[in-house]
Amino acid sequence: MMAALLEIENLTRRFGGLLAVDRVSGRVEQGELVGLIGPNGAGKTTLFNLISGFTPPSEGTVRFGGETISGLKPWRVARRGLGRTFQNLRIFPNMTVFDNVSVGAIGAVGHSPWRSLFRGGRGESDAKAVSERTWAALERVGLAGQGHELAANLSYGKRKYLEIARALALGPRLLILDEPAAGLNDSETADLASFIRGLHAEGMTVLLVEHDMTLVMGICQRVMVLASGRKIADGTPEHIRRDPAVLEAYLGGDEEDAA
Amino acid sequence: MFDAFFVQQLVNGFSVGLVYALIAIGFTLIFGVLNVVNFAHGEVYMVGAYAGVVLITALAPPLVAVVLFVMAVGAVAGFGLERLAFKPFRRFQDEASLKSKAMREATLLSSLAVSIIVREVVEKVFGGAMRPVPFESQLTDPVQIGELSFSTGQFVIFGAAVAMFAGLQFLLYRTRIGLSIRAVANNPLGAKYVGIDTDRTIIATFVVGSVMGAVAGILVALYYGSVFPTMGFAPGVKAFVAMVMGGLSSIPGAVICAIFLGLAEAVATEFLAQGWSEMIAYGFLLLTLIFFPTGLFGGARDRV
Amino acid sequence: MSKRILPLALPLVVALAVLVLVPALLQASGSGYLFRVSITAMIFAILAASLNFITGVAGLLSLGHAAFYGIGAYAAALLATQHGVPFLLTIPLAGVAAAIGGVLVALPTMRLVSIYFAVATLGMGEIIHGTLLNWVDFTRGPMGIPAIPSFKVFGLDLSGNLGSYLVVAVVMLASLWVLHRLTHSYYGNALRALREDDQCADSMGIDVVRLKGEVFAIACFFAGVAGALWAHTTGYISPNDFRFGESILVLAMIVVGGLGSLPGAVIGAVLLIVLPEALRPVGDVRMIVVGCVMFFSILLLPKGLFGEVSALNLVRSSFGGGWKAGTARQSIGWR
Repeated sequence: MMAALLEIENLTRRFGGLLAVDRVSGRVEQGELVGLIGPNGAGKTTLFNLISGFTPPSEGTVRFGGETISGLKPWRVARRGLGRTFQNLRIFPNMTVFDNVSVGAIGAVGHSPWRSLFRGGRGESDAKAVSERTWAALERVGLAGQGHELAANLSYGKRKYLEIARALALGPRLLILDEPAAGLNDSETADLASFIRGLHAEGMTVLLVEHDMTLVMGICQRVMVLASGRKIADGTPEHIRRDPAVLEAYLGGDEEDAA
Repeated sequence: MFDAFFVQQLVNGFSVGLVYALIAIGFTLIFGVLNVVNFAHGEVYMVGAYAGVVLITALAPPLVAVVLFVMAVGAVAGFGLERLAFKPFRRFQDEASLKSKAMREATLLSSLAVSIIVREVVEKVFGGAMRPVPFESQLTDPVQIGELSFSTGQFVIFGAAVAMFAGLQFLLYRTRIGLSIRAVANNPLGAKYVGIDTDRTIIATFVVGSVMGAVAGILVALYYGSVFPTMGFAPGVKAFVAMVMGGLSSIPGAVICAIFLGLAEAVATEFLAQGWSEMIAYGFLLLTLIFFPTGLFGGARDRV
Repeated sequence: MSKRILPLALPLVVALAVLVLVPALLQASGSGYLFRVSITAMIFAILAASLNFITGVAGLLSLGHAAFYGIGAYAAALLATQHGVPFLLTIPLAGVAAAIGGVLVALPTMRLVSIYFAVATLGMGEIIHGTLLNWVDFTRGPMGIPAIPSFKVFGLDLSGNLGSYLVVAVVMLASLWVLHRLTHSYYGNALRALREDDQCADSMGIDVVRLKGEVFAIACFFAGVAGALWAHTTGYISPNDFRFGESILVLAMIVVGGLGSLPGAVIGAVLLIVLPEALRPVGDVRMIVVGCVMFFSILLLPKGLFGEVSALNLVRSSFGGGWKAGTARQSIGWR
């Protein structure tokens, strides 16, 4: 069997005496669309930060494409092909839509002051690569017509797609979306769901971190459930729906979250 | 065992440290509440000194009257400063803007601009040179205790520092306005929602902080015997250093670090030439920022 | 054809104005004073453009820029007076000295954010100024360094008004060109991303630490170059030329011009050098003018006279920086 694209093993993170993430293991195979859910305070964000390199793990390892990435800086993790979005939209408000998305492409292509000085040579091929990647990502999310606008002037819903485009411009092997449906209404969420399905159909591996179950249960092939820092379930949506431990975690905790 | 000269240096350093502490208290109070650097605090100190000296030159009133007058000037200066350089950049309706990077940097620049204008205007009006305080009003009468010589100014500054420190603690922990100040420092939006007039509280903070700065200015002027337009810059920066070392929003921390700085400078003059010892404070500033980003007393995050 | 000519038209106009039109007018006026003001304005244009690179583009508020200007000036002055190094070498060497200073400052202070970084640069600036003032054996302290030779090379005497003007103008255009290419390119986008949200840029694959180091090295290099020009054109420098007030003057220039805007920085520099000179009949009001201009521009004109957005659009359309794609009518990317 081939190694999984993302493989976490016994991942643990303590903050003082608090165990935010407690011996979590799991894997995401190439081409999968996996959901990660859990009630508020379950440790989803911490787990996410451990994977993307913002927080070093107290114990355990993260392997990506067969190589250990735990302990690497976020930008190195990103360059290996891990694209992400943020829970509370983090766009670059004073840059245009095109320039926002180009940052992901720059991350993939690299940035060198020397090369950017001259037209022609490697500087030109870099600029061309960045432009093309950016343009492709913009077209993929349907923002190509608004490339010249300031990101701050986009509507809330479009900013979500802007963030996804920025992550796509990186050319990721794995795309992690952090609560993409937060703040969207039902019809916007439905659009987002079909968009994510489309990405997956094109071969993108997606890990969807969500607080709300509806989106995840609707589109994911497999769902992992986190509660109080532990992984309590891992299986198909049907399996998760019937799992007594999951019901316990959701109903025993924040009732509103039981979808 | 103790070299009398060295002890004398420590005594003088302690007095200098108290001067820094007097300025640092106001600085820290304002930083604690608004989380912004008030670059014009050194100029409030300078304006307080000039106001006092002008009054003394004109009327030669008793010290108490001078201090009261300077307090009034400081209050007006604090009020004007807040309205001019800080209020325009505050939009409470927007929760992110209050302690945002943009707001902090805008007010840093606006207070810096105001400080330049005030300093230059004072220089145009009174001249750039040192202006002596009338001799009869100077607090430089020598007081000999054993082998050590003190001056009356050192006692006045010590007394003023203790009084201000105690008065501020009383104000913050025993009065309504103090409660509002602490509430706004802790959580400005929460304070607003429970019905505290944040705008008025911030003005009060600036007024209290600036009154202290202005009084420090006149006392120091009487102790050193002169005033000059740039007198606020170096002590202002050093008070700022004390604030950073003390953990940014801890008044006791800032006072302790201010005294420590004064002592360190005095000791440094033993080993270094005058010019180099002036740079001790900047060295401490950088070491603190680099190695103790939350201050030397960073563990205790007392907001005010 | 017009499409190929147009992108080059504006840079050509700028170069011709600076290298031909202005010096011709100055020469015609025959005023050494006007030459002096123009040279000062150009030196400060380099300084403002370099500070804009750190503070406007990359978002690192620096309050100690004059120190790197000072390092450059002293490096050039000492090399020229004590070792007889010609100006063609002192200018780049001064830049390198300042760049090394910049990197040494940037490395330890890199993880500080916002106002803490600003205050750290203030402290660094004061320490460097204090070193120039107190290290008497090396810098002659408050006496300063007199008799710095002017521009002379290969028997060619460029020490006159016109010669000095042209040397400074060429160096300025070259410096601005480099900063223009770095600002108006995808490299500039990486820097702007760093300014907007450094953590987010980090997770997009941008090496934030390397970028901060590079920004300081590059900007301080040009501050050093400006210092060398100052030393060679005035012939005498002292630590007083590189105090905190000078850092604030340069900061005011980029604030009034528009943070992040390269043309804004140049406009701000010219304005804040020329305006106090124009007001000279009223008295020496330079710093009052600086304070007032800074205060009112923060208050009333937060984007500056020539804001970043307009500047980037201008460059994309007229300086050949843009890149057109697909159905977009306007140039949107960088080349």
